[in-house]
Amino acid sequence: MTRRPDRPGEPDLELDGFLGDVAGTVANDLDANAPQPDFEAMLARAQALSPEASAEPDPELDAFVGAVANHVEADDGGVMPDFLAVVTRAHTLDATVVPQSAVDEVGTYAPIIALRDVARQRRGQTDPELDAFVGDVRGHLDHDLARGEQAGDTATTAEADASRRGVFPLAIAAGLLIAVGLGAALATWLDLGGGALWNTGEGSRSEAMLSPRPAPEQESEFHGHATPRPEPPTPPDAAPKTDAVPEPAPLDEVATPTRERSHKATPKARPKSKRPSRRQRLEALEREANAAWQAGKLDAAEVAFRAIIRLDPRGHWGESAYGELFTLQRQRKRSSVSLWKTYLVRFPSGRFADDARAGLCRRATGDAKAQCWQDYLDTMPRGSFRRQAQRELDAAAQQELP
Amino acid sequence: MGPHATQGPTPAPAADAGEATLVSRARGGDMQAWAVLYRSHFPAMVRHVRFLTGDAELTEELVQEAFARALVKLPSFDGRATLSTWLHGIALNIVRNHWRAQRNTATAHERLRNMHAATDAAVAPRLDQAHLSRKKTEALYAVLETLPENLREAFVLRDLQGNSPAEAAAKLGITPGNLSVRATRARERIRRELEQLGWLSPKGARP
Repeated sequence: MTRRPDRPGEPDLELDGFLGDVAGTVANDLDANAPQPDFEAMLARAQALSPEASAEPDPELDAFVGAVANHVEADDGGVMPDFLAVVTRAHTLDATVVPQSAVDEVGTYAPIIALRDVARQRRGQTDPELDAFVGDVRGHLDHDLARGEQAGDTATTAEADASRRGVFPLAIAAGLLIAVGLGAALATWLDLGGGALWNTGEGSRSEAMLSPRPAPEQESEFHGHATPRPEPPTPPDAAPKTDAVPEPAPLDEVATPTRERSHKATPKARPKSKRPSRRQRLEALEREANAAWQAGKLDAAEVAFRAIIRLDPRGHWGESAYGELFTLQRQRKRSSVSLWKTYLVRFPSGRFADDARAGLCRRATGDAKAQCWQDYLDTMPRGSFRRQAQRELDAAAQQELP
Repeated sequence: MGPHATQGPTPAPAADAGEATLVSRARGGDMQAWAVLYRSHFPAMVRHVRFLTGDAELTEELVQEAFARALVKLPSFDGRATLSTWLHGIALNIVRNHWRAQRNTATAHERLRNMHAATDAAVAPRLDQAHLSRKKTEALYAVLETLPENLREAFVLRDLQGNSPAEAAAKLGITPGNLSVRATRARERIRRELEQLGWLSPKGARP
């Protein structure tokens, strides 16, 4: 080792000589015993120093954590995107950055909805065997319902009672009218009343989610039960008013199969074949509802969904229509309370029962609120909102403390 | 390390030119652009928060809050990090704030003691698989509640979400070494608690 020439201070030749000797010795020693590079040894040591590597393997804990991770991964809890809620919240946080006009603009968008059924399928919860079984049962029920619908909806309204008497001929007229383009008028006529939350799923609608809907149509007369109903539809043999329908069901789609069948039908069956089947009517109504919704004609869409419920009040068509109405009501910022109630009467364990019960509880007040959440827990101890239910009950219990 | 170590997180949409354009438009007040960003990042954000909280309903609330705050802060987003990283950071801060607001160590330990009775090892084998997984999840999150948040989030990001040390460290803004130290400490404490709850066999008894 030599003294650096730029080192300040007095030179110390004695120290420099001493250090020089030591440096020479070390250099000689290195020459004789220089260690060889050993990358693997270095890597092994580095790994040993790594806290993760030094941790003792724990397969039991890993298995436990893996089970939890899988459970959390599989259980998305039905978390729904709600862009309008986000923007509304952002507006309350800082109205200068997110002005009211932004909230208003987003309010005109079609909803951004996660499709529950799609999510379920993604999680592999489909069961073809069960589906086939349910399909058989549904077919049987459809048959019964087709007969039952002739007696009308079992709803206890006087309105329903009044319509029940003439439902069968009207149902025939309904199918034909839908086929020739009077679906909207008929649907209004068959309307129920109510309100609601989630889309159960049309991909085509999802594509339109981010498109601002066209300028809303003039508000129709539809406002639930209180609205005066339009005149009953024109008899089937009258000239169809095709301009009254958002997207008329093509005549061929409905009528062609019937015509084909009629060639082979027995004379006894022939008169019946002129009437579109119940399924065809439901399909036509669903097409009409979706077309109206995509066109931003929310009133017409609502009317058509309600008509589906009327035709299939306790079947899968009806339940899906409820789901659509829930979404529609949410989009329109209308209360879904009455719709949730009727839905729960018909589908106490249905696909949307969890959300409907929670929705009702959220809107309850006073003692009824706690009672509602207690009922929720009793009815659906594994429901998605059980934690909120427990929190609400805890909060209610706290309030009762002196 | 963890069982999910090889399974990366759900990839967020790449911060490509298209996203940069959307961000630029969103910063200019284009709500449709922000809606597209929201839709594309929503699933990953839900997953991120869901794993942190273990509570679906809470996740919905916190993710909404995270996006709302992101929308408000968007003018300050400088693009140094990807939008995904930036959003996840906002979400993490919101989750931390929630934890701090809820923090009550005594309550957390009390809950853990109650859980002990509810998860009697003798009962566990009789539970069906789905119920068992649910019980395990409840137990683990109850244990996590008793951990300091720095250990908790390191464990969740590393062991539960399955991020690599580098990914998890980047999300937490710490070094990978630091991340590993925290995750290892968390595992030690979690094992101890799970043993006490009867979910894992005592260390000495393991083969």
